[in-house]
Amino acid sequence: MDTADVVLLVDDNEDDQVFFNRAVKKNNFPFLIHWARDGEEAKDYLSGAGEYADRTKFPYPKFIITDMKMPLHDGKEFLTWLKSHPKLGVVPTIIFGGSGAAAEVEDAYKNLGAHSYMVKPATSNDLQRIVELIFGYWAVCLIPTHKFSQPEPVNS
Amino acid sequence: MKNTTFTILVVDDDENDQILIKRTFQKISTRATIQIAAHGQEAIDYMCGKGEFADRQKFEYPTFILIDLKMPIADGFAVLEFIKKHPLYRIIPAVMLSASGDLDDIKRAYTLGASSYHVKPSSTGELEKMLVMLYGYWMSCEVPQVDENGKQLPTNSHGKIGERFTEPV
Repeated sequence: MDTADVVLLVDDNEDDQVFFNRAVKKNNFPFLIHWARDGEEAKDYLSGAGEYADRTKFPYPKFIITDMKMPLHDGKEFLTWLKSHPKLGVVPTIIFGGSGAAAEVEDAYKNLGAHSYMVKPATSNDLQRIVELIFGYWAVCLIPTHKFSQPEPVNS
Repeated sequence: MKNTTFTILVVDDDENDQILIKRTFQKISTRATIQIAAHGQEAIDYMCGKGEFADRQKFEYPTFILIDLKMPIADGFAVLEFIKKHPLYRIIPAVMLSASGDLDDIKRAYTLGASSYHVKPSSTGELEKMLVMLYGYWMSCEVPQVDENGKQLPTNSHGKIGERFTEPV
């Protein structure tokens, strides 16, 4: 892979962000994590609002990892927004840190369009394993926006 | 009560790939039953429980489905479209594994609701490695519960793949 792809991490917890970054560095995953503290910041990033308009600096992400519980604009709201903006380009979304309750899991796949749903493990060993699994998996995935700095223009 | 076995449906018309995929999954898991559909229509029949597939003891509803793209009779897109348009079946993870890295194919697959899209490596060793990784990932994912026919179960419990049939039928 020529350049590192951006992964948009939407999570209000700073420790998680540090952990994800460490996992990427340690394993040399071809990813660069952009941290958004809540759904609002993630929306700005994806829609290229304000400073995010510069796609050379803030490329469109290869995939998105989002927490469910956040103080401002939680995961559900963010994913609903993303789904209602089809022009933004298809980007896989992984829910990380949901409750795992059946209703929430079902809602995530059926209504929110999540591509997968992970419950955050309790121990740091398990956490590391899952995080490496996520990056390893999506590193070998092809997605429509791959290698594009922004969503593909709509044409026929 | 956990059901410790589960079924993976592999939809692929290439016999060599069928054998390799089946062998690899069986090597890494004693819990997985691998069912093969040789083309898209067979996969759709399997999901619907048509003909011989009506026997759900023998042809259990799959926990996840691995789909090749280019196949005779009905291709991978047809399978995806069928599953994702069917409100009862659409929650099943559908992973595309195709020789094609064509951007239009990739886009179409995701638009139709594919869980992810992977290009089939040409070497056997690389393909094995990829299958192990796919398996490990989906075993760690939470998936919605469905009954043995693939219909959603109203339940308060939850689980990962292979733990889904926890409700008495």
